[in-house]
Amino acid sequence: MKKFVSVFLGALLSVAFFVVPSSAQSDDARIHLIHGIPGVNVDVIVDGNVVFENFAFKDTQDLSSFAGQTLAGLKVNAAGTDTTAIDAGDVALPASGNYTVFAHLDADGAPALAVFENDTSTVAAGNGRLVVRHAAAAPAVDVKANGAVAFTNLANGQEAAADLAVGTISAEVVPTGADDPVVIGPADLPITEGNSLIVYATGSLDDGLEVITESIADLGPNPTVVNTGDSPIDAGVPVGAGLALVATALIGAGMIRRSQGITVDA
Amino acid sequence: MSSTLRSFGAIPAQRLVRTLLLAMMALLAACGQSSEQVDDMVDFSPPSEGVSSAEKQPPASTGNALQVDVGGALAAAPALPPAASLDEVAEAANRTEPEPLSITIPGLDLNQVPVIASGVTATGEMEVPSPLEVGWYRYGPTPGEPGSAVLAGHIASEGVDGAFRYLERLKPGDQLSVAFNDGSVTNFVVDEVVDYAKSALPFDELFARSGTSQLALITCGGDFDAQARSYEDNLVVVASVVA
Repeated sequence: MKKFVSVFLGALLSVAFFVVPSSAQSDDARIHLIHGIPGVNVDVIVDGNVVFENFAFKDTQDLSSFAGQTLAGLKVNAAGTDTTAIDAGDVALPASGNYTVFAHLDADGAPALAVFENDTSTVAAGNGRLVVRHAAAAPAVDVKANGAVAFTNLANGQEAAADLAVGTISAEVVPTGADDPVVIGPADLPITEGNSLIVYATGSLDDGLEVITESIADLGPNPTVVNTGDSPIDAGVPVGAGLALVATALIGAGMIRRSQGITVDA
Repeated sequence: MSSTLRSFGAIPAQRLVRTLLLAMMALLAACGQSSEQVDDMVDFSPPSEGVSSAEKQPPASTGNALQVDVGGALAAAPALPPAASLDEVAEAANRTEPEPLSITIPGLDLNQVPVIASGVTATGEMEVPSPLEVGWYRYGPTPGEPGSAVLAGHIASEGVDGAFRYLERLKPGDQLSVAFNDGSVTNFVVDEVVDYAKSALPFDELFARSGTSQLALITCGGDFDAQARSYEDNLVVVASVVA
């Protein structure tokens, strides 16, 4: 009975508080929960109930449909036990936007929950985005890209980001201000068009660091104009003849593979 | 917050503020956010037109049902693929999908016109290859995949008629096909032919990277402005995969 009352009260409170935000919830709210502590399986508990059981390192859960709502009494327990690793209390999920809730170790090695807001702004044509997040039990670090320091003095819970031309970056992580030891890498990071590659350093310096990633796609710009003509029509070579010549030449040169199944009326 | 006060009266409003503060503190304690992110969290106040936007929502979307059993609903929430390792990301980046190689439109006597992977310039102009080739917007979907794949070809350029000179003659029901560099061929059927003023081209729709699969063939149309060396319109043929 007591539980029923408290659930009921909780429901009342959350309804009262969240009616407005949840009606303002946008369809594109995107909230992911990622388990970023290597080697530890956990149960995720909300309001006394296990909602995600035996959640393992790297496991990812979509919380988007709960945007604008409160996860009451959010706890993370060691799997199958009552040992609470993280007691986050009531966690109000943002009503809209793009977030990652990340379970990780803090600088001292204690389990913690971080909420990162993901930058979904458009990248320039031909670019991708690289986001580096320090979520490991380790001191502050520098991140080198292709040998040069790109992000400096990144501490646990912090992030750094850059929009970069498409290509591959060789990354190394070193203690702030030092050249060695290289604690992560060198690792190749692919920068692809319109994609945000989010790289998390997880684990601990003592027991081993691990890198996991998250990607947010479709951040590339669309063209804003399509110019498909700069001279008047019917001014030169008839289209059919020219194309036939080009096609013949390309097929002859082996650049076009003649494929089966095409029927051509011409 | 005026709509909130009106809805729930003064005392619940106080309670709301307290709940908000508690939630905020929990979040802050949990994650040590930057001030910018915290600001985002705080800003739960409805927009000025909050009341009317709330009225637009169907009754079912107020979330009451979910609130009563957040736990149960959470347990049923979809699991996503696990976070990828660096190796997996590199592998995915190196994976090559089939790319379009040529387009054939029998009704226009276009036979295996070369398709060139094309991008976008810094000023936002889609790159379009030579008049006798067709550009595929390589940052968008592949023809036949979810989203709107774009093939753009000239009506006329550099003094010669382009591959898409007669695109306007296509009609709903006409067939065309795209051949890929893995030897496969996908057949499409024309759904509609639409003329847009250039500035009115629905870019978000035509370049959509996800959603309903369609193929958009784009060329120029309308009058040629000899001074600007440009046409006034875009002609768009929208086609879909033959089932």
